Amino acid sequence: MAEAEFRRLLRDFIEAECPPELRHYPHRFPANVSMPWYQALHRRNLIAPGWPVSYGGMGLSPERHLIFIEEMEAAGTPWLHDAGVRNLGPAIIAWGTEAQKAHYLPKMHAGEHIWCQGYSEPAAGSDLACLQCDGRIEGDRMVINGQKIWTTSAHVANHIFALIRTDRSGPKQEGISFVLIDMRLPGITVRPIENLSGHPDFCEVFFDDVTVSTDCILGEPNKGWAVARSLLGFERIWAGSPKRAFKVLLALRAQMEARGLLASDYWRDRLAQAIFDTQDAQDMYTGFADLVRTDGKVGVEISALKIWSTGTFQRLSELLLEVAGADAALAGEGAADLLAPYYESRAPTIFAGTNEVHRNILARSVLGLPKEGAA
Amino acid sequence: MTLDPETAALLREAVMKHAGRAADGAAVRAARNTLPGYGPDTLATMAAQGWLGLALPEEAGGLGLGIAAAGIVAEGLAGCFSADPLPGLFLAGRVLGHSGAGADLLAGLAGGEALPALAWQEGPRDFARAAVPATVWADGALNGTKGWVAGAAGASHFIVSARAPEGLALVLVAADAPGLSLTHDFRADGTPMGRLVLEAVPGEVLAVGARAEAALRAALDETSVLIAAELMGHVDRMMALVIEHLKTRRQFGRAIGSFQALQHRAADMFVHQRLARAVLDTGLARFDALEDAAARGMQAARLRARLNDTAQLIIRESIQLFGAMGITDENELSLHLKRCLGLIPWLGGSVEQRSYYMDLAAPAGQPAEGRI
Repeated sequence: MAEAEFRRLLRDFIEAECPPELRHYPHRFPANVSMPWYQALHRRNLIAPGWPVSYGGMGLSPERHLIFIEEMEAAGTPWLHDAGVRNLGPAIIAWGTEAQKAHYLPKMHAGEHIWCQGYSEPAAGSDLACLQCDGRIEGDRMVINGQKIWTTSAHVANHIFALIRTDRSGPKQEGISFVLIDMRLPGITVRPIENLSGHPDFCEVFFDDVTVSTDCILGEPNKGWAVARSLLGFERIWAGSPKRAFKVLLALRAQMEARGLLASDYWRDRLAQAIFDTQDAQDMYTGFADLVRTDGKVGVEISALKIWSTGTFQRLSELLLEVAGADAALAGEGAADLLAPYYESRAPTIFAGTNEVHRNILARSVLGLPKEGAA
Repeated sequence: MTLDPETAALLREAVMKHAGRAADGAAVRAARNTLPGYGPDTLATMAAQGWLGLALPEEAGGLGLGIAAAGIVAEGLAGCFSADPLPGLFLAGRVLGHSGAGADLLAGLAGGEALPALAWQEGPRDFARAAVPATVWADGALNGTKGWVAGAAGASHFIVSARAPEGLALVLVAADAPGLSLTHDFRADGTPMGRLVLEAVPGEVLAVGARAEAALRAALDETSVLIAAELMGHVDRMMALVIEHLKTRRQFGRAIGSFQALQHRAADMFVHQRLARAVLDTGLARFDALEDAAARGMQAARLRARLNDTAQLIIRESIQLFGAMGITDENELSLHLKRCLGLIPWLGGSVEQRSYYMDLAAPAGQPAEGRI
C-alpha cells in the first residue's frame, strides 16, 4: 500500500470512529470514555501497529509505524490506557512462553486486559535497580509483598507488569524478575494519586501476600532487568516528540493576537523565539525519525531530543502564562485553561528517564566523559 | 536541485584535507589586522578546488551546485579558523548571478582572477531593510557611504546598492574608479571589512527595481546560510577542544570531566550542538529545493538565528569550562571564538533574523492568519 493510501485509510477510520469530543484532550480519559475508541481500533486490527502479523498485529515497519503515530497525533486521538499493547506486548512476543503468548496477547489486543507498568517504588526512582518489592518463591508460587508508585493507569488496569526483587544475593540489577500479575487477586490495593492538574493519572499499588504462579514470570527468574531494558526500543523517540510544544505554540500565537501584543517588538521577538525553538525541535525529531527509518533504531544521542523538546514544552507553557498577564491567575475552562499546558509540561522532563539521567547518558555515552568519581 | 551524497562526501573530504594542511594558528595570529586578511595561497587553492565557483551556474564557469554544497565548504574551512575570502566572494557571486548581469565578471570570479565585493550595508542593523539605501545613483554617478564590506581588501570591483529613480539599483564600479575611497575596519579576529566613501563615482547599472531587490535579498539570505554553516564548523571544533580538556585536566585528584556538575553542563552544550546540527543539515537540504523567496528567507532566518545563538552559548560555556585557560589568546579556542564574534553580528544578528522572519510570515503588526 502506498504511503498516501495508508494515511488516507487511517484518516478515514479516525473520522468515522473517533468522536470530536475525544480529540485533542490534554489528559488521559477515564477508561469508560476512551475504551470504545480502543475497541474500535481492536476491531479494525489497528491497535497493535508494532506487533508481527502472526500475533495479530499490523506488522508495520518502523517507517510505517512512525506514519501511524503521526496520523494519530495529528488527529488528536485520545491517550489510551495502552501500556499493554504498546510496551508489554512486544516483550511477551520476544520473551514469553507459548502459553504466555496464547493467554495474554489476544486479551490485551481486545482490551479485555488493561495493563499498567509497575516499576518505580518510593525508594527506587531514577535508581530503579535498587527496587525492593519482594517476591518470595515457594515451589511453583511466588508471594509478593511491597509497594509500587507513580503507576500510570493502575486505577483502571486489571493487570500489572512489575519488576519484583526475587534474589538479594548479587548485584542490584541481578535478582529482579519481570512478573505478570492479575490485579484482581486478593492482597492488591490501589490508591490513586491526584496530580497537579487534579487528575488521578497515576497511583500507588500495594502488594500484601499476593500469590501468583511462577508461570507468571516473563523471561527467566532473576533476569527481569534485561526484559525491562528491551522495552526501551525505538519508542524512546516519542518522549522527544515536539507535538505538544506545537499545540502550546498555536495557543500562544492565538493569545498574543487576541491581546494585541504582536504590535510590540518585544512580544514579536518572544513569539519568534518560541516558533524557532519548536520548529527546530521538529527538525531534530525528523532527523532521528529518519534514522529509525533507515536502520530501525535510535542511538544514544536521542537523549538530546528528549531534553530539548520537553524543555521547550515547559518554556512555552510558561510564556503562555506571561502573555495572559493577570488572566493567568484565574482558573479557566477549555482553551482558556491556561494552566493545563503548564501542568501537563511538568511530567515529561521527569518520566521516561529524568532529563538529568539523560544528561548523564550524554556525558558518558556520547561525550565519553569519565565515570563520576573516577580517580 | 539537491546535492547527491557522493558529491557531498567528496567535497567534505577535500575541504577537510585542505583545512588540515592550512590550519596554522601562529600564521592566523600573525596576519591579524593586516590586509587582505587571508593567507597568500588561499585564494589560488580555493579557485583550483572549484570552491569559488561552486554555487555559480555552469555557463559562468561554476560547478552549478547549490547552497548546500557551499555550506559544506564553509563548515569545513572552520578547521583552518576562517572561511575567508569565501563568504565575501560568495555574496558577490550570488548577487551577480541573480542580477543576470556581469557574466564576464562571474567567469573571472570562479577562477579567482576577478574579485568583486558587494557594498550594500550602511548602518549596523540594515539586514531587513537592505532595499532602501541612502546612497544615491543619479546622472551616472554614485554618492554615499558603505561599510562592513567583506572582501573589500584586494577587490577588483564593487557592486554598490543605491537608490535610483526606478527604485533600487545595483551598480558595478571598478575598485580604482575616480571618487572612490576605501579604508578598513577590523573584526574581532583581525580580518578586515571595507568602508567606502563614494563621491560622484561612475559605474554601470547591473539591475534595477524589483529585479535588483530580489537579487540583493536572495544573495543576503544565501550568504547568511553560508555563515551559519561556518559557525557550525566552529561550534564542533570548540566542543571538541573543551571535551578533550574535561577529559585531561585534573583537579582534586581526578579528571574534571568526572564531576557531574561539569558533565551536565557539557551535556547541555551537546544538546545545543546536536540541535544546531539538525537545524543546519535539514535546513541546507531543504533550502535549495525552496523556490518561494519568502520561504527561503524564513528558512535562512531560522537556521541563522539557531547557529548564532548556539555559537554564542558554546563560546560562553567553553571559556567557563576551560577556566583561566579559556581567557587566554594562546588557547586555540580563541581563534574560533573570535572568528565567531566577527560572524555572528554580520548579515543579521539573531534579533534581526527573528524580526525578519516575522515580517515574512506576516507584515509587522498584522495577524498571520493561522500561519506559523
